[in-house]
Amino acid sequence: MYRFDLKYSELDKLIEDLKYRCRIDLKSYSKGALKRIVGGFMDSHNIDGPNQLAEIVTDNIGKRGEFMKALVPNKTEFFRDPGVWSYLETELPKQVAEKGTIKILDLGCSSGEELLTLSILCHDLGIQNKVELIGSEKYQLKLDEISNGEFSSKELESCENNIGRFKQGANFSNYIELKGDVFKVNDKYIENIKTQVFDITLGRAFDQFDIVFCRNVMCYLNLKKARPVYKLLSDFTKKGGMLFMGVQEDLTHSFYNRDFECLSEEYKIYKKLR
Amino acid sequence: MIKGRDKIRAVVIGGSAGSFPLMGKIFASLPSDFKYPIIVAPHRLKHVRHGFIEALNLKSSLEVIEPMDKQKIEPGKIYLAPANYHMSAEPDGYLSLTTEAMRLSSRPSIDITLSSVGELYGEGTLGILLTGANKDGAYGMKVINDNGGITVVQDPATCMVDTMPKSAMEITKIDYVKSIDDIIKILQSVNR
Amino acid sequence: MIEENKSVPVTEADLVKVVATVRRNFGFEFGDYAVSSFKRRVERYLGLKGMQVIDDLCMALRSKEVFEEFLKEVTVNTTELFRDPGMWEVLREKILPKLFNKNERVSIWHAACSSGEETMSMAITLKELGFLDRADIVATDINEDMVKQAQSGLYMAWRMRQYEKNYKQSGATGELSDHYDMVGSKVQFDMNLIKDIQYKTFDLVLDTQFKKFDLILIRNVLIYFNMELQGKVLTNINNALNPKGYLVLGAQESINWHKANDNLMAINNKFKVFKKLRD
Repeated sequence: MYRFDLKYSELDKLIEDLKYRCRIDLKSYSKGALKRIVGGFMDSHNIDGPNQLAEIVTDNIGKRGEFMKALVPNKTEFFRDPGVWSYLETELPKQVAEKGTIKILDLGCSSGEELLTLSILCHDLGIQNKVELIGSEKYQLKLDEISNGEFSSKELESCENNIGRFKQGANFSNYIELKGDVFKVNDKYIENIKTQVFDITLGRAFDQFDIVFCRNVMCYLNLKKARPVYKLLSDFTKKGGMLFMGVQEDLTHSFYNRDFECLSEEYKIYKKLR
Repeated sequence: MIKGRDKIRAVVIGGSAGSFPLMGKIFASLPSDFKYPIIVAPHRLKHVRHGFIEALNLKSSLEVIEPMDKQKIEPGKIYLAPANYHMSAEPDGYLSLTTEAMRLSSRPSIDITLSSVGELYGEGTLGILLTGANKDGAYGMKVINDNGGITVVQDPATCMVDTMPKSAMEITKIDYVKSIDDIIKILQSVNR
Repeated sequence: MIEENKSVPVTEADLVKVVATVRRNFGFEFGDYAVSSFKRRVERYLGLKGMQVIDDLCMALRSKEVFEEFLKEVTVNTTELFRDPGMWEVLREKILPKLFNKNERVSIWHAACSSGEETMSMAITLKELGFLDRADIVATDINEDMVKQAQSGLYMAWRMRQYEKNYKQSGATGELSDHYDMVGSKVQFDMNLIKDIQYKTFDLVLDTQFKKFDLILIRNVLIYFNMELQGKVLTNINNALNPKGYLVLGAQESINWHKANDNLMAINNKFKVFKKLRD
């Protein structure tokens, strides 16, 4: 549930408060999304107002951790946009055959759904030992969640639905174990994933990758903070490598669109030219 | 015809079951020089990405767009929330498309679109809620009303499913309860 | 839709009831709680669970699971004595003997001492090893209240069972109870343990540490900072560390991405113990 009565003026004050009181910097967010995230957190923790939120997050370190995790919205779906995975199903073996091993980065991997989808795909293709999977997120606390591999069973229906569209007859239950309210992704899909703390609004490219995923991450950044990220995306991608963005995101805001050729307008898949 | 129409700067429309043909009818009847942005959140199937917008564009006198994230809101255009994304108006005047959890089993969520437009345009908002089978949109209309905007719902008697307008009427003040033809007249009258 | 999440008003008599219930069912003593904040937290818990009256809570508090969840909601998380016993074993068996092997003084910095549990654990360990007289310990925290609490050497008695367990698991051969006395619902640790420790407030991001140390502990703090601040803090910490000195982080924390990593060698990966190679 989202709290609709939080005002932008209150949000601005909260941003200042949190920065000053516990050094949580929220300036990079797009305000509307942040208001929903903060409002949702207040609702689910029964917090009456922004002042009380600032107080709780300041004096209760456990709550602060929960709040920080909430600040990174979950991705909620495995095999989101089935066409993307169909594309990769033919592309990944090709790249592995050509290069031997490849490296994939999921920038802003959040709760890990897309990273684990990649891992599942690689296993099914039998190339899991040829693909290095790295997920990055701004808080270590969030990355720690991935190693649990647990997700709400409420999301199962959409996962089944997605995978059925990706591949007829495919069954999501082959990859998971149901545990009541949650399902757990089988350990073998989690084991070969590496994680790295990285904040896309602060850091520089730490390596170059054959494939970079940055899907539905920039939408939580405001325009000002989003711009430099396009350069970062270019820096992270090897020449001839591929960049995957969210299907409603594109590179047109960016000077760095000149670095890329669009391979799929529908799925926002780009190839780095130079 | 309606009070406060001189202040209108943006129109936001929500609707679910049965609203698709009505949206087509509304868009077809708009003057081609319509001055304000129209931001539309329909409930839609997540895997049907195509067809919807093409069908609406065939009828509409204005351009219908499924915007990209961070696309600027411009007058005289119709922005349709794409499948499987929440669409909201950001305080600095662009649309943001996000993927957080569904609200009331819906993504796009009508509440999210309506409330964000209501907050951005304040008393310049004209909010319209059409036929639909769940409560989504009711809180959005409340936010529009709380921010001084004008609220219009489709007359429940003319709805295929009346849950949506009725829920809005239960929780907030609705300025006008109208048939589709009258809603079209309202839209034509604000374009002065 | 927003449910009316109105907090249920709780009276002081209600609080007494809750405290008594918990004492009866679990032998748990809340001790001296600050009424206003405790009240607020209980109210929030009631709202969270959709409970209308205090009796609902008292009924629910028969279950151990509910009790544990309730505790998590209403108490401010604090650390433990000998938290991560394995790390204390490494310190006791390996690191401290190495640092104290020459007949020189050794300087130690607890860079985020919170309410002092870790500093107290260190003092106990050093005393048992016979090194305490040769240690110069500085304990800092950003929060003045925490520093004061740390200086008092007072802890909640109900927590001692867990601390005792940690202490034994850390490979200590003595008795934790040799170091404290019971004072009502609290325990008072032997002030001789910490009388020479320098406690002060210190902001890891803004303040500069001019002293140099042979051992720095900064555990479970970095995870609450973003990358930029982590980098700043790590640089400052690294600068305050003597060559051949040791740095201990929280078990979940990593610094492999940071350039400070270049002159730090991982001695123990599980408990994140690093040794500084050069300046």
